[in-house]
Amino acid sequence: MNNFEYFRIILLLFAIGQVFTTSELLFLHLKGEYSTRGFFSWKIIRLDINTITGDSRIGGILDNLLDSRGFIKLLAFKIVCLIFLLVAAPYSYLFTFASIALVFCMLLIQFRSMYGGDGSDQMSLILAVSIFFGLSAFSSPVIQKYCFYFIGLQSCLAYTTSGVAKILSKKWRSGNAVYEIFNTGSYGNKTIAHLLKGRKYVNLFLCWTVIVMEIFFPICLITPIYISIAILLWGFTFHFLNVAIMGLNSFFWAFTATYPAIIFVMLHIQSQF
Amino acid sequence: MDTCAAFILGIWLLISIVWQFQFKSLTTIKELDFIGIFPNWTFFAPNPGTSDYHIIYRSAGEDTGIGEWIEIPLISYRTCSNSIWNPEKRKVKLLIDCINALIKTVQKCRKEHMSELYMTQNLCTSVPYLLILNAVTKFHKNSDATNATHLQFTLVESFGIESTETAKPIISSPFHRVA
Repeated sequence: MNNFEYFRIILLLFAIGQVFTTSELLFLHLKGEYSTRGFFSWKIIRLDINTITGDSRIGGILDNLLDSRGFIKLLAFKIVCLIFLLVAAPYSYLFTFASIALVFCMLLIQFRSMYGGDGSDQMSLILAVSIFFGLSAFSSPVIQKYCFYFIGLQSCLAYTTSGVAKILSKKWRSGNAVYEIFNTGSYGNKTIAHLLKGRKYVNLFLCWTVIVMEIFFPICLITPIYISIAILLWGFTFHFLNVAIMGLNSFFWAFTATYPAIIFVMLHIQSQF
Repeated sequence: MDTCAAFILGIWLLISIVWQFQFKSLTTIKELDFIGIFPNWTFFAPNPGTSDYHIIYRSAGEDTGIGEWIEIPLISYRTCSNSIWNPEKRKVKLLIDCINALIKTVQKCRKEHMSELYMTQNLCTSVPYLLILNAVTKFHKNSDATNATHLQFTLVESFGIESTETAKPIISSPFHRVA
């Protein structure tokens, strides 16, 4: 596979994830949640940045872009950018414009989601910036290599940090965390919680599998190919179960979109030795 | 362009690594990242979210007196469809973020030995508090609202579907006049 083909897979997975995310935001907007009286009222959220922007010009621009009327236009513009990313020829000026515009849209939406946003938005931003650098008119094979390393290492950092944070937690080490999370209405699942109730060793196994696999995830970059593929398969299954059990759909697309970059880095490192 | 890309991506990665550490000295700098460009990848750790948060409210009116507590339905149990497409999760996440921010404000006020009155003022004028109050007001207006003149909300923590532990209130607001 060449660099372009790796990027095509990243772009496809990223775009699918963004279609889901944007449609969710559109749905909430149509329900009035981004209006002045809604859950995500810009009039209130902007109070947090009032001290910085005040009545300045930037404040006014942000008001126009992020209040209820501006936000729907922003979402519509994001969808247009996504369509152009999928249909425009990579390395063309149209693709370059669409990808940089998408990055700005995502930055504004992320800023608007300072309450209620999650880690998948941040990984998606990392992917969007990398897609701009890697497939724009100014790209080169060297830049593409940097992008793959950037995405791959950010992904590895995410898994390792998460694993280390879990091993520091008593609830994770004791094996209670998985059951207790699945037992919530917010991120859990009634059926699975019922199945796991009272099964101490199963819970212990699940907690420690997540801890160990997350901490040692980056070793997939240097292990023999069949071990690396097994680690990535674990990651894929992990995110798939998180969708099914916890409803974390956006994480699945954002994180699996990093896997082609991880495979590139893995093969590149192995080709050096 | 090569150097520019290497510089931007390199700096971003480097700061992302530093961002994972929970140094006290970094807290103020981290707060400046309004957009959240630099990620903090500690999902469900070290303190996993093992409880659910609920907003309950009651209304009061001159004719009706104080009404019953009503829960704003936010948590929907997992189904096949909301696993794949789940817009409501953002509202749940907003509530979690708001409650965490309110708890932090309370802790900060206590650390600085603020009086109860000053702490209440601090809380009631904070963005997370106002967001919740706004949501309560909207929900009340959309329901078969009585002619209430005031609303009061309480944030409640419950401990899971299978748990028998009693839910406990976290923060209770005073009565607020409805515009």
